Amino acid sequence: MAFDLNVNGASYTVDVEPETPLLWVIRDNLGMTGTKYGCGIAKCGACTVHIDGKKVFSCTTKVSAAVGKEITTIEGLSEDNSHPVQIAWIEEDVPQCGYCQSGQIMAAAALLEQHPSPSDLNIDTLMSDNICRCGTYSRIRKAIHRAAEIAQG
Amino acid sequence: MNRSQKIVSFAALPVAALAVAAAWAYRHPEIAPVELPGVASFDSDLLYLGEALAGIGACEVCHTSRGGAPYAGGLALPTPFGVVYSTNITPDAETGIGGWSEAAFRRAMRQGVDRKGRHLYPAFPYDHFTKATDEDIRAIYAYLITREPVDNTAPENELRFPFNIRALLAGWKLLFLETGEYQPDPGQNEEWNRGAYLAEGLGHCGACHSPRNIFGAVLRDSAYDGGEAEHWLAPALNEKSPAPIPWSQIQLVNYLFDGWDSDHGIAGGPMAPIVNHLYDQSEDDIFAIAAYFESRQRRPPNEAERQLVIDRAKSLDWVSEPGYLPDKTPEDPSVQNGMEVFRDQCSNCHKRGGGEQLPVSLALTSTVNASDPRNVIHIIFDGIRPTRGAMQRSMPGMGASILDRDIVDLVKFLRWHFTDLLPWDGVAEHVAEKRASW
Repeated sequence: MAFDLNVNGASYTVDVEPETPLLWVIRDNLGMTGTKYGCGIAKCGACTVHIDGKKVFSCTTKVSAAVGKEITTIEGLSEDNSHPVQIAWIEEDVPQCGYCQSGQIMAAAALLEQHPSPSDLNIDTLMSDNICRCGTYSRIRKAIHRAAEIAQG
Repeated sequence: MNRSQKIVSFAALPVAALAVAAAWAYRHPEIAPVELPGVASFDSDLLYLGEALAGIGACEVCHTSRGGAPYAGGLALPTPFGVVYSTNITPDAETGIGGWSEAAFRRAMRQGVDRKGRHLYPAFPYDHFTKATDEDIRAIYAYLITREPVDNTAPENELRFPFNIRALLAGWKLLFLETGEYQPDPGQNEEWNRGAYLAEGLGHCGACHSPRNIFGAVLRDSAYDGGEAEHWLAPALNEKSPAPIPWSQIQLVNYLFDGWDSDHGIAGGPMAPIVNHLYDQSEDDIFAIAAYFESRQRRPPNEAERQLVIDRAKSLDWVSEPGYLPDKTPEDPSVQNGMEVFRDQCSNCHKRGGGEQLPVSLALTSTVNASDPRNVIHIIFDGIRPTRGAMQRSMPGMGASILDRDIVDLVKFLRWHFTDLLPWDGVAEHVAEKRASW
């Protein structure tokens, strides 16, 4: 079945089964491999992308549910790594192995939309769906505070 | 304006007339601004008490806008009469409560009047705060006026005529406001009375958990029959509680401190920030509040009865095996589809067996047993954010990843499968309403 998708501002048509996870479409059909496969059951957050500005787990989102919506992946967050979260992530050297980080960055970007000056509690609760097995949580928290500062100039 | 709003506006007219008279009778003078006393002039114990009591009252929850400075106000509070914006209660001289004497603050808490003598809307729950003691009001005053002043002017209220006329509140108070400190019930013990004092007064539990009349006044005869908070249903806290297992004192303690109890599940929606404030409270006060609400519940079950309810709930939990089907399968195609959505989207976590980390059996929750589907819809859209005492528990929001028709079917399935109650009315309308405001 053909589905028209809007990903990072560009239009794509993919021919897949309607229940195909959006994650597979992004990675396999569109070749955007920045979004990672972690658990496949919405328990780790590695596959976090935005749909209409809200964070979603692309592993449990069916492609048919994403039609007509604006999908943003890590590749589309900015053209040149200039999103405040990306700048802060580089400044604070957040990643260790890096596998979860595109999901963390997408979750952090969505968080700042909701809470431009987040408290530690905002960060801890809103980032709790994204797991980091290297344990970079304290750097993630610091970088989100830094990103909030950058965003506010 | 819909029909019920018209009725309210029409019914407001005689009240308006009464209010004009009452406004004269109940004029309040301005209390002159004062130089605020500094931190040094307060005993540190008083400031700690004030901090704790401000937490019981969860002042910060309403008096902080999204992303705004704590206590600086500006949060939109939806009411049936329009939007009220919370005020700045930091000690800023121009935009906050800088210049408020203790007497002015006490008058606001007791009578709902600001320093200048203007009536305050009862979105500020002075009908509850009036029950607080002088000493406790003084402690909160001391705490608030020693915070950092923040220059922030809250937006103008967006109330419909005639509710935008503050003088009308004189009539409202005449009819509905009973001022005065909490009077202990001599037939109850000290713990119960302490709990009642906190719950009825500063805790203002009834502001959300009790129904209100068409003028927005809490119905005292139906106290804790369940009410509303920010478009969520605030469940009944008395014998009408939808929880299949009536709350015991210790279960209430678990819930109030941690936001989690294994026989009831997790706190969500507007209750989550409340329990995040209660997390820091003293055990004595939380046990007291719990004792008070336990006494208002149905008779707690004995252990055998409790186990029966739990076993029945567990028998309804989904089994995470390929090809599994529940004992009874739905005939309604919509509920059938809802079952498939549940299997695909929910059953990885909401399933039988597993350990401590799994969510409570859905059949035990107030959410699926409630009188309307609002809370379950909010939770499907927004997920559950963990509370401070249950940081390992959360649920991702699915509002952007499931289509509305599938959410409608899922909600119908949850009600059908996990309860023996009648199906909810208007599920599709509630989902559409949520989508529109999302």
